[in-house]
Amino acid sequence: MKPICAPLDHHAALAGCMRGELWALRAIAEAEGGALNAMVLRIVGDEAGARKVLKEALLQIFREAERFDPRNGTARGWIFAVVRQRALAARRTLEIELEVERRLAASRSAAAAAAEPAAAADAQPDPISLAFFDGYNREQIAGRCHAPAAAVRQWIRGGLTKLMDLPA
Amino acid sequence: VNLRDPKERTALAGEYVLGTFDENERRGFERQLQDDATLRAEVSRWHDRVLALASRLEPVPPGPSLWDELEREILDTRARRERAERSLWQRLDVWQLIAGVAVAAVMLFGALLLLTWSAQRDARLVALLQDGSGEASWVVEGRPRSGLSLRPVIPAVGMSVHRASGGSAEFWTQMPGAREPVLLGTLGVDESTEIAASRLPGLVEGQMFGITLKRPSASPEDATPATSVVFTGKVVALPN
Repeated sequence: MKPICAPLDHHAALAGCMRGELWALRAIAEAEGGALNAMVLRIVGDEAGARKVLKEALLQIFREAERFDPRNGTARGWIFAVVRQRALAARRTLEIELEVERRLAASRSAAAAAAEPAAAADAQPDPISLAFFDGYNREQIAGRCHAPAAAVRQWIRGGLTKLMDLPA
Repeated sequence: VNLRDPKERTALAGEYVLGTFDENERRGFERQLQDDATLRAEVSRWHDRVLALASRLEPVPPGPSLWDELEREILDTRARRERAERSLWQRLDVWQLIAGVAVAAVMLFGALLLLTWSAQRDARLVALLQDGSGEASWVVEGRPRSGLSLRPVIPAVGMSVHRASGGSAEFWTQMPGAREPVLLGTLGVDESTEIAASRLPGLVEGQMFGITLKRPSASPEDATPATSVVFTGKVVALPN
């Protein structure tokens, strides 16, 4: 497999995907595979699940490239948004499965119900990260940070404002 | 939510992309998105801005086999689709079947046309000639191309008419729409009278046939017409 060394033109690659050209998806996978994989891993948590999500998301990009509208944003932003949405959806499915298992176990043993989820032991997490990587909404972040929802909203908006000043 | 204030619009679009809305807020915002192109552009800008969050992570190479798996998946899907298409449009037996059905349809259509045409050209036509009592006494039967025959329903009737008229019973026809009847001939002694197609003005549905008798003159002063129509009938087509 010969690596493609020139910096990726994301827009041209999406146009290639739209025409069904394999090189275009390969260019995206090679140039952004590491960053996309890191994001998916962070969201989904386990390697095998992340692998599956990344593969399906890239296939979705290949099939649905015509949905990208260059008037509104960059091709790179669109690609990452598609992959992140897919990863968050997979994580939610996984969480529901785990929750069902936990409740089943709790109904069998009262001791299991007393056990706290390991994640709760974390230090105070960053609300923006909780939203972006963990798919938490405002209420869930408030519960996680033991803070009122209104305060969480102010933190989030503050974090978003910082993002506005950063180069992508 | 206030979508008039540009700052608020930007902030809401950011919250939407980050995913911190609750279910109701999200649905309301997505309704707004549907007919607000500038809000959609705002959302897309946020997709670019949050790239900074993903970039904070250390890249994790997905392994060299990722591309191989993607390529195999895409090529397999394509091959499956092509096979499915070929299985319908490129299979010889499908085309043979289509061609066979088409040929059969053309032949059937042609045969139907021919049948209808010949039926119209040489239909079997019949007229029952009745007297005033409504009893059928004579049958006219024929085909436009071969001519017709006139027969009494009961042979004795023919004989008696012939005898009563003194050989003067005449056989007439009148085409539909024609003003005058056409004399076809006098009734012979034979039970049936044949008229060749060449001597007919035609033989079509609705055509009238009639038999007239010359009344024996009662007196020279009698001013009433010398002939009277005794039997008439209209031609109908019979199915072949």
